Amino acid sequence: MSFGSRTAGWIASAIMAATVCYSVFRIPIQMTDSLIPLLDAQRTPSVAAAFASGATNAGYFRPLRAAQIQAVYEVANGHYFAAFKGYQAVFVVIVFALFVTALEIDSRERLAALLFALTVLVGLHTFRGTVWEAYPVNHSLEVVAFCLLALVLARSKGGMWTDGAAALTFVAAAFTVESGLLVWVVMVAAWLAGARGISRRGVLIVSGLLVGYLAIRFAYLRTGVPALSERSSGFGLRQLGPDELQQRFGAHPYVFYAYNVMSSILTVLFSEPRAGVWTIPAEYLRGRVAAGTVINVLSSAITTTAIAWFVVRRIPVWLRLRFDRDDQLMLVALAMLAANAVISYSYTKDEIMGPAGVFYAIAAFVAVAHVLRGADRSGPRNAAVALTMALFVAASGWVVRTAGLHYQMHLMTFYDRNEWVYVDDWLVRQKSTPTTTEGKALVQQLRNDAIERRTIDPYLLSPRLDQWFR
Amino acid sequence: MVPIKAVALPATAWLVFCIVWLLFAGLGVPDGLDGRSMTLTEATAVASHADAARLLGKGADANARQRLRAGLVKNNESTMTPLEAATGAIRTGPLQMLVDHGATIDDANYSLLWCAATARNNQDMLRFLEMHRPASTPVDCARVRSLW
Repeated sequence: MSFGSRTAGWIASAIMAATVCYSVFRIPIQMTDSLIPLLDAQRTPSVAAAFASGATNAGYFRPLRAAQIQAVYEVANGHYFAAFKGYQAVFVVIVFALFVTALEIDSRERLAALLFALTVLVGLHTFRGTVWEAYPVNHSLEVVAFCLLALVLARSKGGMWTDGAAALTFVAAAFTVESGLLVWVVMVAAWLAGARGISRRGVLIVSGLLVGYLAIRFAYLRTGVPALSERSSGFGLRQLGPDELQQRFGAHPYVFYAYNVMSSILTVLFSEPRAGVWTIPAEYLRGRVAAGTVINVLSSAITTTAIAWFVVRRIPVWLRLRFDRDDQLMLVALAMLAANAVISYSYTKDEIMGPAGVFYAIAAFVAVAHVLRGADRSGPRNAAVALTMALFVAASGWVVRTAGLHYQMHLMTFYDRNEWVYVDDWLVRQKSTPTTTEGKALVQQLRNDAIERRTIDPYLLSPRLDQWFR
Repeated sequence: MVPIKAVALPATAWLVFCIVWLLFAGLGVPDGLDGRSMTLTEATAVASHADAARLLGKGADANARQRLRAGLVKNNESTMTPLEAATGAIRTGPLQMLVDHGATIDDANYSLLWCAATARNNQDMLRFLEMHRPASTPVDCARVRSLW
């Protein structure tokens, strides 16, 4: 039975990954996020030069991200769409493969819980921003992959090679983007919960690397942290611009930071607020709460209740420092939720909680598998019926949200293609109009590629579907 | 004990749908949802600047009456000019692009467009028309045929 369940789990994950890749390949290379980095890559002489440049950008320390863009650009040899989208799709496949590996599907109950968790993974709004965008490499998705790899390593049989792989994983993640530091959180939380695939020595090495990273970034390079006035962020019922943020919170930014941390935690657990904005009251004040908003909140609330129920039941066991494999997954997921929210203190955006969202799906898997194993069969029959109904409603809601990811990605395609029409005006506003023949040719090639691309127009499907997919 | 089916059934149904979807996508079906199947009128109605630019770049007539499939603006399939369709668009269409490619706003169609945009409360279209108002065009919507 375990072989059949494991195989079925891999097949289900492969189908989900294939559909996500399909939608990824519909989206053209984005203009606003990708064109200037591509023009930079065209001017940069080598991968090493890109690495050095990425290490010294004001406000950021992302040398491996810059190096990846340069490497894929050079490998592309003119086939930019295929190269960058192919690179993105590889990480989609890696994320799904690591996800199913980490969950160890060896029974019918765990297979059913995996099916549920896959829809949570794909349907949660934080995954949308994680998977669809590329700059032009998708570093958000890479961080998710690194975090899942850290979890798999932590739960492996261990050994010297595992410790080495853990160190390499941390360095790669941290040098790609700041949220890569979450890899350290996964490793430490897993070790504390009794997963010793990465040994104490390995955890100490990675912790030393973390200290080294912080020293390089803050003491040596002095790249600092993003300023309050750097970007817009949601607060209350609307988005506030940089100037407004500075005006309202410049004197006491910690109030704003605390709001961001709480918002980031709540958005993963309850799908509210979204990017710091409370959508239910905001939509109500505009006249109608969308059906999709209700589905999001309801499915998340039921799932979070199941997770909370599991946690409450297991706390007495945890207090005796006894952790089984599902306890380890749950504790790492909770640590990730808190850590991801804390490092996202400076502004709120759905996609920056992407890693926590993926681990929320793992927590959902643990809770649902626990329920399906009948661990709570002591309750009355009516409670079991109510629980069955609730989980069916949640599972159906997550399927709607999974379909919503694809709808939103096709909508993204629609808007991205429209942006490319006015690329020349945009480049003028950015003061980045290419002056070389090669630069102009690159812009023209990407523009033609976006506009001529075969797409499914979401408005031909129905102009009203956006009410269901939020 | 909670039945496994209650948890697994919705996701399983989705997986079956995905297989069918991917198969159909591989075969290029259905063509009707492909943005490239749109007329210039339809591209304008859904505010697809990209498809409008693609069609105009290939020589589409910015003043021609073309198919507007059912459900985009009206419940039934009809024919309209791109500017007429733009009055019913729910987002700002590629209006300036149409004019730049020869779409005319004159005494013959100004009142029709203005009254249709007013009926749809399309403020973007009304602002655009105001900027392109022919010098001596009085507008009396009671004497203008309805687009909707």
